[in-house]
Amino acid sequence: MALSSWRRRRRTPPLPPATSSSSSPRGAAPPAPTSAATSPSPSPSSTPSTPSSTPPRNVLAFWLLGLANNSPYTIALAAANELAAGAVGSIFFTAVFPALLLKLTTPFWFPRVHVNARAAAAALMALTAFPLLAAATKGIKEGGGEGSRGGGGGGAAAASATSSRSVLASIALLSFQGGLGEASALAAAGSYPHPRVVLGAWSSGTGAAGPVGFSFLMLFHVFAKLSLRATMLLALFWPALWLVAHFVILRPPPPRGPDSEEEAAAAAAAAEGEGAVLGAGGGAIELSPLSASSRPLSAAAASASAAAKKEALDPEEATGLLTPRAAEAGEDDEERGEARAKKGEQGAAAAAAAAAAPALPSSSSVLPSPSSSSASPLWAATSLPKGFLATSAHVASLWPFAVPLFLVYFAGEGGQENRPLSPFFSSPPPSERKKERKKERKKEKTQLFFGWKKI
Amino acid sequence: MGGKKFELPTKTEYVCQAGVWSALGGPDAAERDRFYKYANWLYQAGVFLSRTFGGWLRLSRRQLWLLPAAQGAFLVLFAAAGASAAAWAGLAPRLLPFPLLLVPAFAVGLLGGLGYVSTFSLLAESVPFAPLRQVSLAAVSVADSAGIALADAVSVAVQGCLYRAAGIPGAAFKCGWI
Repeated sequence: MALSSWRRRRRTPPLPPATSSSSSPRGAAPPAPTSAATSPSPSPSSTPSTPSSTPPRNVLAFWLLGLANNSPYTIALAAANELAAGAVGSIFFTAVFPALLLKLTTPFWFPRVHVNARAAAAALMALTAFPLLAAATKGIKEGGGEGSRGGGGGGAAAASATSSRSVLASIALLSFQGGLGEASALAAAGSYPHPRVVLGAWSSGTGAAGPVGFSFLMLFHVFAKLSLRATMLLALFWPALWLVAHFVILRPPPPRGPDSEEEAAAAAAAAEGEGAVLGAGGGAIELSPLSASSRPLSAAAASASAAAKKEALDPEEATGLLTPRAAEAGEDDEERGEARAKKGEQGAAAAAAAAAAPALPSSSSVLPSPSSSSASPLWAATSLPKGFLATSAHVASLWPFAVPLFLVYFAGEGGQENRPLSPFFSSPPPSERKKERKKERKKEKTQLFFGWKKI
Repeated sequence: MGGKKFELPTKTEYVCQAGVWSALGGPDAAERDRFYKYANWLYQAGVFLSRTFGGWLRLSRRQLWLLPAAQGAFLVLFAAAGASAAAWAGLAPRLLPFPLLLVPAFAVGLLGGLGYVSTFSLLAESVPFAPLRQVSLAAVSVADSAGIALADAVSVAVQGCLYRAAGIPGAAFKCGWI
């Protein structure tokens, strides 16, 4: 395959694909951590010594988190398509936009809310949504079923309207849950020492969620012929699994400080040497693709902690890279005022360049940067942005990652979540359809017999 | 056939059958359904495979851009197949048999999953400061949702136009002012 030629030469893949032949995700996920010892992106100082490789239980936990996060959404959407047959457009909107809006807000409150609280909140949403959906199922079944079929008096129509409203509400809740769960789990993955391993496990779990969610419905709703209501209640299994994966299986990441002590020292030395070489212009966010992306994480983390030791950097100064206004926005922050006063106000760009330089000890040595503006991007900062504008500026600076991801779906029929299930479940299962046809034929016969209907 | 703004005509057997792939598979509705199912299963399989193993490819930031470019090419391919099927009703299936289109459907899934896992892995390794890394990972997941929204909108629009071209009834979007 052509993809294999994309392998980056600089790094050895942590695991040869040959071992990946086992297609079972549970079997596939655990092998990753064994190779994790070699995977921590090789640093130029070549100290992959961190003994703390990712434990298998964390890999399993992230795989289960991915599965448990996306399955509810898949299941509920299929169910909703069966229930509120007429309202595809509104279902689409309620399925997509709550998650989108919630994810937009995450940079502003995630640092202040503990990951456990976020995980619990996501589970709570799913735990609320499924009973709601089950209740709505009942309402719709009583209301003459599938309002699109046109039957039913006023009362029945009203009942089905309220229940289709609660179908939409539960879909919105599950969309919130999926968005919150995804953002939260991705953020959590970032706090583990080998994020590529746990992120791989997470995304594998989310990839499995489509087929697994489908199988779930197949198994209980079609084969076991459970009602949709019972199936929705059974789907409470997924938030339960999410809670178990997060609170029981997953172990918190090791504390950040001590594990990279030597590297920090080494990087600090490197930073001392190169700290004098400052980037010229502060205006450019974009770095040459080699520098930041190929920069090994361990060295980067080390340099981060080294910089933290050296009385850290002001967030305001880092944001000065993007807009002076952003820097101003952060200035009402009093805590770091002294440090800034020490350095003096020399214009945002210059300060930002000075601040950013020690954060990138290796980038200037690894590659002779082609452009004169070797300023680091905002996401290479070593402090959290403060204030609305600074945070927004940081988020905007992530566009080299966000835009390709944004565009990558657009031939793929939408997300993996909402498409494939619908053709199987939007129409009633064959047995029900047969029954309905029989009923209709009977009705027609009686109508003919009594002469109600003229042909 | 009144109803709400987004209501599908009631006769469509499958409710949420938007997208380009629902217009492929042949003139017969049953054939189209079959193609749609297989294509989506293969798409799923591709997504799962590449979301599982794609992290080991270690794409660079520049290589990330190849993925949407390839997706765009596939979209054009699918749309062309749908449109040409409408144009030469009998001939097109012989020139490009529809089962052959299942291969790019699988590839589309592979690319989509690869985009997801490699974006986040690369991002995690690009942001040195751990708290900032967490915020960044969460923030970029916006692109995931927004991309899905865009894709859905695009697929509804393209489907409407393909249906109109092929004379297939039942699209949510009519590809016109009527």
